Amino acid sequence: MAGREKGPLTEPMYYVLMSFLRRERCGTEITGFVEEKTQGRVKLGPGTLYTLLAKFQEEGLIAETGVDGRKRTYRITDKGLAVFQEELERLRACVTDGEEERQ
Amino acid sequence: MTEKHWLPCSRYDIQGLQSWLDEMALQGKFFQRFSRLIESAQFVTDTPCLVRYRLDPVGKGKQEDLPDLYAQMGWALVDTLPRMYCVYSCQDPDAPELHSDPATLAYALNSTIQQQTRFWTAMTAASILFLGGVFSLIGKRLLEELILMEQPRDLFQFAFSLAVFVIVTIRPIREIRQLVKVRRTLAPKAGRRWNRARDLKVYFCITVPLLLVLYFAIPSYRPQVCGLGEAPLSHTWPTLAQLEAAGPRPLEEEPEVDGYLKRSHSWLVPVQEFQSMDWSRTVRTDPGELIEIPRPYPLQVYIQYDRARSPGTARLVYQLRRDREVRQLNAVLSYDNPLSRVSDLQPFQTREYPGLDALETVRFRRGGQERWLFTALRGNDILVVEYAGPTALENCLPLFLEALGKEN
Repeated sequence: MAGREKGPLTEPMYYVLMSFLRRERCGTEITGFVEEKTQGRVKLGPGTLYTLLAKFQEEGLIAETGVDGRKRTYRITDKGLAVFQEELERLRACVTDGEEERQ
Repeated sequence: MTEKHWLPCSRYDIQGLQSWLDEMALQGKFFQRFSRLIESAQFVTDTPCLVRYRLDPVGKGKQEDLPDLYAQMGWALVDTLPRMYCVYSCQDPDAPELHSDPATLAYALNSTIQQQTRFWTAMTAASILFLGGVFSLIGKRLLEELILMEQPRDLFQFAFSLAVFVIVTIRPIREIRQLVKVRRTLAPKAGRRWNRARDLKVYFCITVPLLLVLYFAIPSYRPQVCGLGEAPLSHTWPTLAQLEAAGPRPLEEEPEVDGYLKRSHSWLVPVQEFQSMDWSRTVRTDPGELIEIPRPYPLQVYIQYDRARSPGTARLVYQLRRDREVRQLNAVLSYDNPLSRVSDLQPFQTREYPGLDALETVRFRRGGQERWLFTALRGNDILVVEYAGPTALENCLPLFLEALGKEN
């Protein structure tokens, strides 16, 4: 396992990590991204969002890049990228398995 | 207008508290704050409306300006319970749940559980240390009291205090377990609720009368105290004149004696007798006058006799009585009062004596007078004698042992 030893990511965790793939983001931007990406299916509550940011930071999956008043921006780290990639492959395998069985 | 309500469930029952606060809002009672000391919450009354209350566990790594960030997403901080959680409210039905991911909430709860566990572990350790200290100080006295039952009310009060202490210590441990359970299951249903106001009334209605009845039913001091000769004793102990006859200055007649008897009993030690005899300083004459008589020399005897139910108990009582004498003698070494102060205290000497299972003696001076004390064990019998007078221990001991063999 590349970086994360605590099992698969939940959907909010997965999308929060995904939100950093293209650029650095702050909290409200992450919420907007997830809502837009999932077309409102996944809603990030503030408790979930800021707990996840603290958790990811503690685990070294993201790093803080700037503070502007209350606005804090973060970027994904190499370890975070590896964890995301690993989760992506796991989900891909899940989908493949399901489709194989359905045929 | 504000109202106070007892919490209907544990403070640690997050789901239970959340649903209760939501229901109170629908009744027009809007949560303001938790009481810090007692388990109650303060509400302000207004027009009923839909308000969601959610508890956000405190945790390390969280930003200090979280309330402002939460406010941007529709959640306003209402109150904070240190080391536990913050209470947020939201009136916007479209705003997302505060915690939309149970796994993240479980992670957030970790810090709260760790903090609570650390805090209560420290409290429990401090309590155990405190209890250990208390027991090391009064453990022997407690054991003595438990066996002899002289002051059962004190024992009851101690047992009651200990029970309360243990319950108060155990309760947080039970509640932390509940928090761990919440983290593990994150069950959507609320926990058990109770009507605390009613429960407290029931509790007080049962426990207070029970405590009062027990308090007044249990005597504070059980031994019966009376004058010399006013109650029968199990043995006839040597008189002052008999003791003097064994020594260098035999008395021609029994002197006027001041003194008293103290009798008690317990299941483990059914016979507990104390006899104090002191050569009287005063004599009552025929017209009823009290005349002070100067005594040529001191003459005092204190006799403590116990009969235990079994030899094992007797040995324990012997040890306790001996330890009590050691404690008391050491305690008065530094007394300011020269009449009570003990000096020249010799170490206790263990002796062999035919027919006795144990015999220890000690010599000392009290109030400037030479004294000796012996503690003896024979079968189920324990005898402790302190003597002030001119007769030697070796001369008096056979008299006491002879008396010990003749029960009335």
